Amino acid sequence: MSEDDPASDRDIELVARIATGDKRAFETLFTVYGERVFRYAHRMISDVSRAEEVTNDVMMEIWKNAGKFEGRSKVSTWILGITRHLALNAVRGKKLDTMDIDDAPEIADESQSAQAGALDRDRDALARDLRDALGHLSNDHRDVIELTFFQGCSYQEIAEIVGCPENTVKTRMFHARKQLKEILTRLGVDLSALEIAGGMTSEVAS
Amino acid sequence: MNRSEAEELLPWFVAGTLDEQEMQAVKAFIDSGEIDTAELAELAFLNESVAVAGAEEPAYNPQLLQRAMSQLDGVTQAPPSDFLDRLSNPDSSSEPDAESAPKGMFASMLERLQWSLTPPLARVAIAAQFALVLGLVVALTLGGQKGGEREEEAGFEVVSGAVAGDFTAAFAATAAEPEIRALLIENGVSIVAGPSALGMYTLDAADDVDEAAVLAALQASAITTFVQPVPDP
Repeated sequence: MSEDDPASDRDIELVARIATGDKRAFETLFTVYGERVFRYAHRMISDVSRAEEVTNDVMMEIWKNAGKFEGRSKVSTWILGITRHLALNAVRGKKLDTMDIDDAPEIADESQSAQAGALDRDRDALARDLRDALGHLSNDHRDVIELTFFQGCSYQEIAEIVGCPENTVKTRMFHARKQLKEILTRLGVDLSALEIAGGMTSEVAS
Repeated sequence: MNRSEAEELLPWFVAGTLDEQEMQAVKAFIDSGEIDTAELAELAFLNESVAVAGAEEPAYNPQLLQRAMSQLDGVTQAPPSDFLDRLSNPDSSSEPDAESAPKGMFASMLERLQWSLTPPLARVAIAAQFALVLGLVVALTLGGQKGGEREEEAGFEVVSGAVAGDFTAAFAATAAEPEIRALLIENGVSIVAGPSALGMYTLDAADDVDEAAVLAALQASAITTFVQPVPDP
């Protein structure tokens, strides 16, 4: 937990106030985290109404159990952990639109026609393909990608949210990326074109 | 950090969530050309694509907040943890609470005996038995120590119980028992109490001796380190 992070200090103060029944503090925390929780839940379960239900459940869980917060992790990590738990329950309770990696070849076959134009795709189309491909990953692998790039979590925070060792997070990231490449290749997307299309290497390195 | 470890951390380098030390270490590998730039580009694109909510993603419904606010009153909240309590009342950490405060010996004994779990009638019976035993102990102890009764102890004639003497005296640690005995007999005094924790004895002079002369003789003795008349009550 970062002690020097002003957002962390603000969040802890909000949770402390919520624990005493302060509705204004709850409203503030909801405003800060509501959309983030919804997006994370929606990316896990791909169903708007269920994602909204999960968001509501997460926030009510925070209201109910703010008093149990022990400060062992950042508030954001705690909230995302609750979100993940409730979203997984929602996925298990009702098989929604998540797909297993094993289903990917069939989809790839359907997409053969797209193969030829891979290099001509614009960046938006590539991004859309990539997000589609994420939907074919297992929950564990997609989680690591989402938490890293969408939620901006460090690998230590992901380990706390998911409840696994840090090395497992790194291993899952490695396999998730490998599978993504395979899926995208089957979809006819050539990732080697990215360097030409984006020129992001220099941006990142700087 | 070796190259393999740096490669493992690349996703979080691109996402900007490594700590400063790790960030610098990974950057050093990138700058040295040991990490494939194509991999970096791929991760940057992944970051860019995932980080932004796409047009195909549903809009966030702000009404969710109002819905949750309307439910709050019906939910029972957990009491604040110690962590949050300390946060709200930083001074309270220096005051020991009732649970952690050290217990007295009597309180600890009652706790050990599970006194609070004992039925009321049983408590009365136990208390009565305890009082009876205590009374017997006191009677036996006092019965064997009547005031002024003389006993032989370590070669000295001592008197236990409440006794009055004429002098308070102390002897040198190196003084042998026969030396002390000789001094006392010679001057017509006997030990009636002591030694105390400080090594003081109470001496009683025989009725037919001159107390001033005895005091002078004791003060003059080489084995006496202290001697003083006992003030009249």
